[in-house]
Amino acid sequence: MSLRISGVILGFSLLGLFSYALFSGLEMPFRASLLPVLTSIAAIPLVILAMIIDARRAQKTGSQIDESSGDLAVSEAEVSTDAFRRVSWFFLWFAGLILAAHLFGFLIALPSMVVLYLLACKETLSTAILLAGMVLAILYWGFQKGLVLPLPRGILITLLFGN
Amino acid sequence: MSVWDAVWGGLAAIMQPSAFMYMMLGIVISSTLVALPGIGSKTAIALLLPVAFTLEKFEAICLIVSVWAVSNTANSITSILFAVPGGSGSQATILDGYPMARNGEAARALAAAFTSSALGGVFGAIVLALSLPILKPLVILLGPSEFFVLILFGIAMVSTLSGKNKAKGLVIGLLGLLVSAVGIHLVSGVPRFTFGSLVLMEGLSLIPVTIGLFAVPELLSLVASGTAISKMELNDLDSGRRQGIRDAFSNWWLIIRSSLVGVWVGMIPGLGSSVADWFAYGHARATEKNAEETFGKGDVRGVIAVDAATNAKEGGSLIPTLAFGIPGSSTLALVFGGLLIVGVKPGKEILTTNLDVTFSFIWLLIIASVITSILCIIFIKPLAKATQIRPSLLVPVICALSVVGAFASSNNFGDVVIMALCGLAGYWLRLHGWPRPPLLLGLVLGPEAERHLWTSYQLYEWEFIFRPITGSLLILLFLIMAWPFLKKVFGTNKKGDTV
Repeated sequence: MSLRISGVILGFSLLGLFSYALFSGLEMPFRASLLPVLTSIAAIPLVILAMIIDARRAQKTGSQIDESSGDLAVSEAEVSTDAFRRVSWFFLWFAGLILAAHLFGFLIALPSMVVLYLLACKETLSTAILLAGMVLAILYWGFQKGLVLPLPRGILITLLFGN
Repeated sequence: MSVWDAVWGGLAAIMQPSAFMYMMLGIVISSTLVALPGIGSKTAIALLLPVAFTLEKFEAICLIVSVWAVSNTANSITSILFAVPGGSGSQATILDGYPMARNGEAARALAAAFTSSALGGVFGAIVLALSLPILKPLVILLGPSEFFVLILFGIAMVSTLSGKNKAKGLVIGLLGLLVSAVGIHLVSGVPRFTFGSLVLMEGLSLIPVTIGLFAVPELLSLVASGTAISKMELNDLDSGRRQGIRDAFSNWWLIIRSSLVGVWVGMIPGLGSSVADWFAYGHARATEKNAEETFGKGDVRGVIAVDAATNAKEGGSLIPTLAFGIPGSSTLALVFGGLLIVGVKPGKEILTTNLDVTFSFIWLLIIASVITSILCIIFIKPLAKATQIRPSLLVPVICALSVVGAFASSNNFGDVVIMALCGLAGYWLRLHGWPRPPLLLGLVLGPEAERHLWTSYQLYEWEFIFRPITGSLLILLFLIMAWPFLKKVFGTNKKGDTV
């Protein structure tokens, strides 16, 4: 999917979001609806305007990247096919990290996934173990003991070994 | 509380051993993380918010404010050494800092930058302290309708300065306001945009949204670029330090002028570091002797002007934040959110009953700026080496900390999922040039905006927009929004007339 199509989808998603907020806001009591309704009324024409300006800019410059944004600039390297492959891989890993944390708990899942990531990036096993140990130390002594934060044990671990 | 009690109370509070320790921790974290391009002060603050949540009031203030206050100091390292801006505030530092480094004067440039950063930071804090007597009566004069319009003004200013497509910034600011409405409406008890989810009924917490919007996309950006932050060789950094410090002190008049530029820019909500550095550079170039010939080729005055202004800006940006609850910049919106978490509410309260908190900010700006500059001058080399860490080592560790940070805010796994979704949304927005800072500003200011809007409506119905100050602010807001369009229309007409 080209960057331009992705940008158009983003624009229409925002349009859909504000339209939904407007119509569901109208069904709320007056006091609760004030902010969502006023916000959506102002936002809908602005989204359309932003999309038109974007389309004109893309037509004029031929570039897919909006370099005028006030946010951190996106480089050409970040929008290459290779970059998208790396980002997709990262998201898969990130989703796996969250799923593993839910199943096995933070203390097991997070260091294990760090090792997995580092090995996949061709780092040495000793580096991977060192960094995973560091993460485990921060989680256990920093958060669980230091901040007295009860880190979840994971639903699978709880099912197998109980609370 | 008398002013002097507040002055000493603020100092005593941040000098308590535990609070001081958190200030030092904030300085070290900020100087190390912010020195890495892509890992800005927003990411650092986002990752620290869950920790601040568990601390005492002044400990949390010390941690959060010190990270923010000194973030512009370490930024200069990568700008000067590698021509890679560490953050938006250090772009203009490259113009003369990098040529100096290439001429073998890296240590001199860094020392001059750090010294002028400290002096600029102190200057900004003094201006903030001096402005307090004027701000207090002004804030008491304003009512809910004026505050509501001021909030809109703040969001609009951040949005309109978010690049050429200003509509995008405004949309995202409004999206932030809308996102702040998610959850059960506290007064009417109506669930708003919760889709029956228990996690959403409590509303979206600031911490997971912030980590998702700012930390995750930067990590993705590092993954996407796939290269080390800097691959360049580190030059000899030991010589020239003393000369750099001397340069800063001998150009004291330039530092004062640049700091004034910084304070002025900081006071206008929305104008961030990225503007302060260019304004100060432009001012120095226009006013300094022989600047036309030497600036851009490695003139130390170019570095001094920029670094003094970007640090002085912080004191200036605290003025609208403390007085009106309108964060002067997107990073300050995060700081503001962190302060709300620990029960510090900007506005009337902080200038009256909690004046010691205000003075603790001022002391922090002064003390943290000076300590950071001294530390940076001492540890130039290890800080510069931090920029050579491979992303493959950085990304999984920060990711793991982001997950636990999102969870820590409410001990709810749903917040981890919210963080991941916000990360995805943040990356998508960034990729297409929709600026993320206004979203955060809208989210932080949303509840206040709604409260002031409702009170204004109750008091005056829709006629509140015709009140003198409210109406004037609205007209001003409209003119600022419509200015590019009006300029085009009137510019064309004028051209047409003459033809």
